Amino acid sequence: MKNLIFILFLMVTSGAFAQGPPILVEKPIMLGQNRSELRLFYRNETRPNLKKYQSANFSYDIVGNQFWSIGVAGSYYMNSYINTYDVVNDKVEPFDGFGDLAINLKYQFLRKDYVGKTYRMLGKIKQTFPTGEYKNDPFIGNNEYETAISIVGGYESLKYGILHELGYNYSPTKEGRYIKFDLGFGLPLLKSKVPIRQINLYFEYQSKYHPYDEGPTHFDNFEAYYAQSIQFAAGVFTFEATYLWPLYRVHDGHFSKKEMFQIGSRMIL
Amino acid sequence: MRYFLSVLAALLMIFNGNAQETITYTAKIKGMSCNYCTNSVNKKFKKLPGISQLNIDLETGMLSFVLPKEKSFTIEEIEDKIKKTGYTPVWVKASEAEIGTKPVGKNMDESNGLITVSIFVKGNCGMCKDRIEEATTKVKGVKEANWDSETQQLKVVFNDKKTSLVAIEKKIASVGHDTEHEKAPDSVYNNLHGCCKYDREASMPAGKE
Repeated sequence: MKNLIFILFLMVTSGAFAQGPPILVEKPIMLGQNRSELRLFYRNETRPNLKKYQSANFSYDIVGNQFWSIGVAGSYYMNSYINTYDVVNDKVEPFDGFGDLAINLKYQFLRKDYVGKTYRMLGKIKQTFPTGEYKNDPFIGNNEYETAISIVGGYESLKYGILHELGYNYSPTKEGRYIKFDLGFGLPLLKSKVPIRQINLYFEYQSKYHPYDEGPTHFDNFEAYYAQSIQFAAGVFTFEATYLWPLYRVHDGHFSKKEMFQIGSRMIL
Repeated sequence: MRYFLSVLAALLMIFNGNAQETITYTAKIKGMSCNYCTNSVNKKFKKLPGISQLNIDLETGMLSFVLPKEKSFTIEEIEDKIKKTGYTPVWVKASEAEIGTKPVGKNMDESNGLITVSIFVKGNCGMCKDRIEEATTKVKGVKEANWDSETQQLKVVFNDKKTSLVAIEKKIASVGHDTEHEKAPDSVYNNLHGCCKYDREASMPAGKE
């Protein structure tokens, strides 16, 4: 344990390394004029009541500059076991189908730049459209137009990055409303160089509080997760893998997770 | 002999006609904190027609590149290009150095990576000049340093692969002279000779930080 702490200390206090974009937490740095990011990833998610979701996901920044961007994100669920066990037929039916489509609008309203470090904040609006397949229970899509607003902030230096997002998701149904808070810590492992070859570790925390959910106490409506990620950045590409598990999860809602594995890549265009 | 000299003169004329005049740009950029950031700036600038020797140092925030004179941009245009990448330019400088194909003397050195930059350094007298120039030339990679007490401009020729303007300014500040981006420690400034105690409150030239 002492060795591990020593290695972490060395990594944090040693020279200029510089990390890449965070995996689960939103990034606060805009890509600049005429630049966009295409992200593709596979996600395998286990939820309560034996539900297993496998999805191919994408996100793409359609247009933007150094201050704002508009992006789209979607998913396709495949071979997902979302129905409970069919006793009559003695099988579990897999399910394929499109998930909800979302459009993101981001605007950077604070930028404090220094040599080798920066602090930025942006406002984000995410509008979700009910394009996903919907079954009464369980379901892929939300079957609702949902709107999420959040404030994203982040301090990034050559040695590490700290990122956070605080937001509120509004849904016409009370159960779909929640407050979210994400926190990420990025740590580069290799010295910064050109051409880019970098390995980053990401330590990320995600939480949701559902104020309107039914539960004996408010804590029953709270869920928190920890995700450990590793990212390899090479030129305009990054390749990343994440494993997420619950820290606190009494809430057994449709979207609460038992565990999640994600692997994917992104490319700067 | 005459024939030989006229042929040589003709060859020189042809050669000079082919020599491409270039401008070396250097800039300091704030806000780049990761490889993605340098990638953004790199991608923006490498599209410039005729660009060569493009170099971005993430650690120091230094950007440098060379453009043919006929395809050059103004300082304001370069600043605007940096801003559009999403980062903040601290300063941009352009030094006209003929580093093309001329195969003689100093220009050969310049084509090997030497750049010339003028920076503002506060000082008063001949003692200041000696101190500033001595500190500057002690930095590994610096070839020449010449400080003018009237304009307070230090002209420095250095190899940007061996050192950076940031390192040079830090060294100058460490001997007691404020520069455009580095402030000398109070303890060192207080120990300067009486005639060297320049006005620390005097403002820097317009457009400087």
